[in-house]
Order: sequence, then C-alpha cells, then structure tokens
Amino acid sequence: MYVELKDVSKQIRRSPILNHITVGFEKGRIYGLKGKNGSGKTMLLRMIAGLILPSSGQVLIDGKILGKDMSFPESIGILIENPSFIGGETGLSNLSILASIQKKADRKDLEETLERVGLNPGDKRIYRKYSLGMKQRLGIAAAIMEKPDIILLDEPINALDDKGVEAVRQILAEEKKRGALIIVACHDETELRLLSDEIFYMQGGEITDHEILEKEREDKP
Amino acid sequence: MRKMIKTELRRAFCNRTFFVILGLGLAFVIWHTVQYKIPYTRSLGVSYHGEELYPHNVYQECILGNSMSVHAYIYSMCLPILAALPFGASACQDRQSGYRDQILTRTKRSTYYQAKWIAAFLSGAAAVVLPMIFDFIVTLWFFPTLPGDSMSRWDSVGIDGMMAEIYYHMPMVYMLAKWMFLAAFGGIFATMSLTAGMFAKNMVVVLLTPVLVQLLYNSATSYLNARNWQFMAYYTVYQPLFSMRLWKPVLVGGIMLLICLLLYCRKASVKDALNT
Repeated sequence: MYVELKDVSKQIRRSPILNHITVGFEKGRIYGLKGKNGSGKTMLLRMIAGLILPSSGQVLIDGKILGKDMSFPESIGILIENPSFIGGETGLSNLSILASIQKKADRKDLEETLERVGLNPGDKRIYRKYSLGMKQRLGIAAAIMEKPDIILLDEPINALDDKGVEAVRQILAEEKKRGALIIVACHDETELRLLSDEIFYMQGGEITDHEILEKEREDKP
Repeated sequence: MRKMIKTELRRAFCNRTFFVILGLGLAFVIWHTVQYKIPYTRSLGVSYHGEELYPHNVYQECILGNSMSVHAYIYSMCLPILAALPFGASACQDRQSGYRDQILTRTKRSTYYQAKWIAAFLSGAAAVVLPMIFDFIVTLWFFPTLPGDSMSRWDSVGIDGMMAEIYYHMPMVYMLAKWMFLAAFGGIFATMSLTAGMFAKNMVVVLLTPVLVQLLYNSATSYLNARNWQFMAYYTVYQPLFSMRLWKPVLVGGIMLLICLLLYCRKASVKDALNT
C-alpha cells in the first residue's frame, strides 16, 4: 500500500487551500499532520479519502489515480472532523449498519472493536445519548472495525479522557503492526510526537517541514 | 444495493419524526370525525325540501372524498411539509454531519443516492397516505359502502369527473387510485425536499421548498384561472366544481418528478464533496 500525492493543489473560489503538495505515505507507518487551523490538514485527509478532488495534480493509491481509476480507496477507515452516526441506534447497531455495506466485519469483530476503544458492546443507550468522548470512541471504532489498509484520523483524541487517549495510542500501535497506513492530524504536538513515526508540518496549504521521529520514539522509555 | 436500500428505509421509517407525522395525521382524522362525520350521521335518511336524500357513502365522506370540508383543504395544504418532514432533509443532514462520507467510502456513490431517493419517496408517500387509509376505516364505522349515485347532485364526483366511471362502478378501486395519487404526490414532495437538500444548507429552506412550490404553483394557476390544475384538485375531490381529466395530475406529477430527478442526479454525480 502506497499513497502518493503528486503536485496536488486545491482551490476553492480561487483561494488556495492546498498548494503544490508532493508527498508519499507507505504502509506500516504512522504519519502525523501538524498545523494551525486552516493550514490544510483536514483538506489533505479528505483528498486522500477521495472526498474532494484536486484542482491540479494527482492522488495515487498503489499507482491508481483517485477520481479517475477509482472513486474512493478500496480499503479505508476515516474519522474526519466530528464523528457522525444515526442518532436513534446504539453504538453496536450503528457499526453493524456501516459494516453491512461491505461485509468485511462480522458481529464478533464489531464487539471486539468496541471493547478496544473502551465502549461496552452491550450498551443499550442510543448514539444520541452518548457523551462527546463516547461519540469520539465510536468514530474511531468505525474507522478501524474493517481492518482497513488506510486509516485517516482527524483530531482522534478530541474529547477523550486519559484512558481514551491511552486506548488510541495502543490501537494505533496495533494497527501499525498489522500493516496499516495511518495518517493522524492533531493540534497537540506532544501527543502527535508520541503517536507518529513521521510528522509533516503544514502552513497555508503547504508542507513546510518534515521530521522523522522513529529514533526519538525508540529512545523513549 | 438491497442492503443500502434497507438501511435507508429503516432510517426513513424508524425515526421519531415519521411517527410524530403519523400521530398528527391520526389526530387530524379524529378531529374530522368528531367535528364532521359524527354530526353528519344524524342527518342520514332525512329529506331536503321534500326530496329524499340518497344516503351518503363512505367514499364521499372520508376526508379525501369531501370537497366541501375544510379538513380536506387543510390537509392538502399541509401535505408537502408532512411528506417532507420524515426523510426529506436527510441528504442535507448527512452531508453536513459527515455521515455521508462514512457511507461513500464504503459503497458506490450511485448506490447511496439511489437508496436515499427510494427511501425518501416511500416515506413521504407513507406519511401522507397512511392517515387517509385510517380515515377511510374510521369512516366505514359511520357511513355505508353504497356506490355513488350519478343522478344525485349531492355526490362529490360529477359524471364527467376524473375517473368517474370507476367511481360509479368500482368505488373501492377508485379509492385505491385516490390513495395512489396522494402517495405519489407525497413521494414527489419528499424527493423535492431531498433534492433541495443537495443544494441548500439551511434545513428550514430544505423542508419548506415543497410548500413554497405548492404555494407558487397554486397562486399561478389561480391567477391564470386554471384552478382545475391545482395540486389539491388531484388529492381531494373537486370534481363538481373543476372537472378534469386523469392526464393532468399524471402530467404535472411526472414533470415535477422528472425535474427533481434531473437536478438530484446532476448534483449526486459531482465527485467533489465540496461541491455537493
């Protein structure tokens, strides 16, 4: 699995959102995106997900052009901006509905995923009654439940308590070990340094800096 | 595809708004029963200026069959919003909440939008027609299932009215056709709202679009002195006043559905989520 962005730019009403971005992401690694609000992190994630198309340049997934050879990456899990589910359904039911589309995950997988993110699969509360943290956990569960090749998480630790943050760290490590390509956008630099193998710094729709953290991570106790 | 339709149908039919709309419809039927049907049963079998009255039948005393009652008028005026409320705004909601992105990354774009269209149409149809079927059942408690009398000036359907032949020969088939018309227009209004939701961001605008279309259309037809083209003439029975032919509602409904479908498909085919 290799995701490549070739000189990608995106303009909305003539104002540039992403500017000549050329970058590659490979499987089995966690990439962090760091930048201020409006720096283009979320747009970059949406572009890799196939939800928006570049004004110029190409997004390639294993050599296939997104938007031309394929509409969306074949195996992808996303949590971009706020998690969103059907308000009148339980967490497990919401995941079942989504999982039934591709049939890549069975009920046991879903229950395991919910437990991994710290939610009770037997919880009868409907999504509307969930707290912000629970909604976020369910959003992460939806992104990872089908064991996708690409996982895109936008601010995954938003609204999470310490236990939730720890769960996210563990999940990302496990998914990385499985061979998934993970891209995380996060404001919190400390957390991003803990989570990522590499960090891309973004400003004004451009990647301004790039840092490899693997050694630093290995040095940590 | 089948799974996606099932999911969208579940969302459309098993939501609070759908049940509230059904509840409102039933309350409306009870109101009509208390204020109109029950008092009217007392006058059954009496004469009017020495003329023996042919008993009124269930087909002309249900809300849809009675052109003289204010209830039919109110129901037909509220029909667009009743149809739009259960699932009409769902395209707009899904887009704004991000739920659409969850679906689109898992299935074909066309599958999602087709399923949504079908669910919106059926929920809009059911929301407006189920209370009227209930009304018919309630009316059966008070009025006989006698066929219409074409010689009576009291009968709602004129002999040259729309589907008059069916009404006088097979009144139950006539009622079924009436419900189908009502359901079709309910579905059309729901999909009109769904289409508006592909363009507009404001939920109120999305839900009120079919209401505005009906108002504008009715105003235009009134201005042009073509009241037999008005929507409510299709749902209810306005035959003695405005005799019309079957092709009119079929033509108007068909054109409306086609316009909505074209706009919807055009917007649904746009690949860039920022433009949809």
